[in-house]
Amino acid sequence: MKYLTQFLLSLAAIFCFSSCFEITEEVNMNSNGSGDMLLTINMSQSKDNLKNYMQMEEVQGVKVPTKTEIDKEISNVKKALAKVDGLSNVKINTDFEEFIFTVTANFTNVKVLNEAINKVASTLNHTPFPTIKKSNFDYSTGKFTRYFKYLKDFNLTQEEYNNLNFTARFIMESAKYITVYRFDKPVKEVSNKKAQVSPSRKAVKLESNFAEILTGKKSIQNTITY
Amino acid sequence: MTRKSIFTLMAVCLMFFGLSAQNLQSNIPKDATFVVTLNPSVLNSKVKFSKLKEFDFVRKGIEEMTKQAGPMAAELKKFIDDPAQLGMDMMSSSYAFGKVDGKNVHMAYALKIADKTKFEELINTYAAAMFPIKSENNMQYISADGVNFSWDNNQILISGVELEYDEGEEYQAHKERKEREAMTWMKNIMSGSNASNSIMTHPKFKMAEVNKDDVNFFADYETFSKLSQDLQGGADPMTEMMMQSMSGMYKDSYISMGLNFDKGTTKFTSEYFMNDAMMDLYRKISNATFNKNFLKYLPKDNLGYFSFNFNLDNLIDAIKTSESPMLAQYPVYESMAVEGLKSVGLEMTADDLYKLWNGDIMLVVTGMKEFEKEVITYEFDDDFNKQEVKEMKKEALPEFIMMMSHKNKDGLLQLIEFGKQSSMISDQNGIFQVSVPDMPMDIFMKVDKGMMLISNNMDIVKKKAKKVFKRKNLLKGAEIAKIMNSSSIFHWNIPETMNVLSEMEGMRLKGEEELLFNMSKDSFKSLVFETDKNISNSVNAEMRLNFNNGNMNSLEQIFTMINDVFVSMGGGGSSM
Repeated sequence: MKYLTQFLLSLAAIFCFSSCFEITEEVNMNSNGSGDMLLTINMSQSKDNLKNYMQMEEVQGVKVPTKTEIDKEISNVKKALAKVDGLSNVKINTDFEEFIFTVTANFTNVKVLNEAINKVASTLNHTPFPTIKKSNFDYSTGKFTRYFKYLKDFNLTQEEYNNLNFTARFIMESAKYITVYRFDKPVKEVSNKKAQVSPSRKAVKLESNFAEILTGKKSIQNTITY
Repeated sequence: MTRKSIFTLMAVCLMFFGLSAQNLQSNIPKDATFVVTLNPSVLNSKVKFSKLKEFDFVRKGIEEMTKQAGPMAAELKKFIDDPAQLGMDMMSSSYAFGKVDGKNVHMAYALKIADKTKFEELINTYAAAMFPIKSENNMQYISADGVNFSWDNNQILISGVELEYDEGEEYQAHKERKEREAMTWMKNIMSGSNASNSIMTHPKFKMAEVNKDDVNFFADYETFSKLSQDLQGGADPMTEMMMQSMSGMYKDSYISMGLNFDKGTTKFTSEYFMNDAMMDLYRKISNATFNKNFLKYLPKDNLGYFSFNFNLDNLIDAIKTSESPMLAQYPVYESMAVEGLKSVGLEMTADDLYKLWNGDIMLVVTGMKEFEKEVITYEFDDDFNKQEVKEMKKEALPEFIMMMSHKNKDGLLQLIEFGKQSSMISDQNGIFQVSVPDMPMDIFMKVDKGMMLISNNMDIVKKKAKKVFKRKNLLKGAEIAKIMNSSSIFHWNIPETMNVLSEMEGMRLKGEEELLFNMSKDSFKSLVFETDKNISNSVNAEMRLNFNNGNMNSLEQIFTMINDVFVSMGGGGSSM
């Protein structure tokens, strides 16, 4: 899996040079365990490069998907999500001008959310490797947990990280992953000390970059008691 | 000894030395498709092999090779130390050559023998048990499957053939035919029967002066081009058709390419000896005057530049008067272009069209410029609610200037006027701005008398040259002479480019990357490709990798760089 990580990172390395992208994961939790989620992938800073790449058939030996192919994948994801019991109001928005993509949905409980994520991963997995399926979220009364169990599969040692080429390192250091969880009751405790709690104590935000996550320096794992 | 006898002796020695190189060449047939000449003594006179062998990575490589050689380790070590110990003269020129005729290939490699007794000792020890040694006249040889290894008092020859199967030919018959052909090929070379009709009598080979390069490759250009195409999987039908119609252009054409490791520069030269008609054409199209106004926009601190300068009038004349079937349709295309322009409201004759461009162009990359672009990011309020924000982000891109000469200002302005209809071109008081959607920067154009200027920096186009580039900051000297005397030239300023790159946001180099980057910045001065405008017997082109240290041989500098990387990777030892 470490080799896969490196391969994926090399792939990412060719994607863009001047700054990168940010992924924002937002979950609004209700006390009864239901909620809604919004995932935003913002590649606006690299839009010029991405527009150029999309006009090429391949870049550095890697095939570039066409807009039609991307739309088809998105349609497959939508179909997969439609089959998840407990998930509703699924919307996927694509903006090929700014290269911003969003997925929103309502869920009846976090198990549904986990299933949805695993289904998406499965749908998008065209590699010969099996899809890594994990539980990403857990909920019990007054306790919300965001897991990150992928480190064993994807982590890089500091030495491995240093051995990556500078483009890959730059992309990983500038690509952000932001999690925002909102609750209808004040938050009592947050396990991840690097997370911020809002003044109203009803929201928790954690900002990391991919380099920190993959080298284990920062985790997005968090248990929030409220 | 008298002075006269000393001179006589010297003359005899020189003649012998010269002849010893020529002897091998005299065995190469005149119709060889290619000849590769290795001149180790030429290279050794510039940088001693003994010095190169002392580098850590070389010593380590030799050590590893010797370990892998098993029972032949001792002989391998002798060969590396001094091949003469094994009877081989590796310091004299040696030649790899071949004849290619469709799928039938005859190949050989000839080198001088230093000591026949020592060489035969080596063969007897390692090869005689497996391959019987045969003798014929003064020659000994070993044969296996159409490959022959032969030697006499003068030379060692490795030779072989590959033949296409005849229709209906069986494997055994083919094998036997191949062996017979290989034997004939070998004997012709070894017996010196090619001497009266050798490559040395080839007029273009004589002109090529192959013995002056460290390594030289000489080839029949027409056959070699076809062979290269075939090796790449064959040409597509369009290219095949084009090549067939252009075949007359390559007839009786030869190319000589030389590689030389000189002080401060590694040079790769090519001399293209074309047939008379093509040479005449090249002389005419190279006879072009360089527009000196271009030099007003060439600062000395540039990242690189490219210039080409051809006599377009002579080229058009040549096309019009050409007997090539491919170019017979040219007047039709000319009319089509004129009619096409007329149909969109542009009244221009063919002559007007030709005057739009004088056949020259110069592109200069002066440095990096910051351009702003709008991106979308998100800000979070106190409750971490996400809000979309449009932000102007700066991006560094290369700043360039492009110049072309013309003789038809009105025609160019007409074309630009037409372009304005697309709304991508707007007129900013005589400066034309080209804004293409999705392009990170705008382009600016100005049409002056005799010259068109294009840049992504409006100031350069708007202001007079002397206001943009002060005289003292312009490129001067020998480099200018080179530009003006070249039909085409590409120059890349390596350290200047590296300096600019090192300041870019993403360049956070570590470890070996940093080592290689800094090494390149410190060692390399420039990379230059140029084609000489002055044509005598051949069209000459040269590629030079220039080093900052002009006093050390370039091969030694390359070895030093490799060695530094090797040592830093824990290869052991210390840098020289």
